[in-house]
Amino acid sequence: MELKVEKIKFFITVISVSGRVDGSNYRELIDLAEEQFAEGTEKLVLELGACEFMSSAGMVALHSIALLARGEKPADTDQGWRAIGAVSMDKDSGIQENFVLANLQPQIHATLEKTGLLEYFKFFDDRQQAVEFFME
Amino acid sequence: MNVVHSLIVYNTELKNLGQIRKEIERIGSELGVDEGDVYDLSLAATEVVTNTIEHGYHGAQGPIEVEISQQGSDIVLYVRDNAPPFDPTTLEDPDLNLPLEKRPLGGMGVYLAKKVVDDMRYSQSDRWANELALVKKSIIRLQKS
Repeated sequence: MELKVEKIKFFITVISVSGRVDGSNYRELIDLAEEQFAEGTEKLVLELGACEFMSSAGMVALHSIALLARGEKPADTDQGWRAIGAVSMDKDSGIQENFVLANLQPQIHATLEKTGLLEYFKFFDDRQQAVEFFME
Repeated sequence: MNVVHSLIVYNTELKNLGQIRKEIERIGSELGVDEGDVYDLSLAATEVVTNTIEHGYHGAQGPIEVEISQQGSDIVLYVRDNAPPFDPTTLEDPDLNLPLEKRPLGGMGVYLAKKVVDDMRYSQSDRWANELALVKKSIIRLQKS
């Protein structure tokens, strides 16, 4: 997995993920996002166009970043559903206000769907649309 | 007839996950398996091996064997280990209609693995405390022996 950070405005950051996200590296993604929020990022786009593979550990990372975007600490990431279920996150909680996904590959979209997480995230076809959403 | 395409013994390090996926992709390509089915097999193997490392061995060292077998037009992935016996096929599927905070603890990886294969079978033997067979049916387009 490779991660690239790009600041669009002082409050918008795009993290581009390439390669594969699994149990061996998903914490790096959470840590990088946490670093961005700590440095002043308010809105985060996760660009996944070059992300070829994402296991359930990646799903946990997405959830953790969503919590960080809401100003909360991510739950313990060791336990799958346990991490995800540790904090209530309903569709109306405003979670999509600060964190969106762009350019999601079909297989990863399918994994989100299979785990019932699809409805909790906002998606854009490309990075530009996602950034414009935050600029409005 | 059962044709074993790969037999790998790993120690319990998560960094081996990439190597397992590469092997599945190589064999899948040789057998003319669709990319989507290769992805599903890679995902199932990743989830099961991760579970074994994190929840079976709990960070201790131990062997994990991954066998990729061709059985007719099916591919069967066997994941074997000597962690304490545990049959993941007995785990109940989560109710995805429940709010996230009300879903049962654990089991996300196993659930995902189950969702992307056609069959998941558990057994034990004298040599291995746990053997999980992950079956993807009728996906081989190029027969090779």
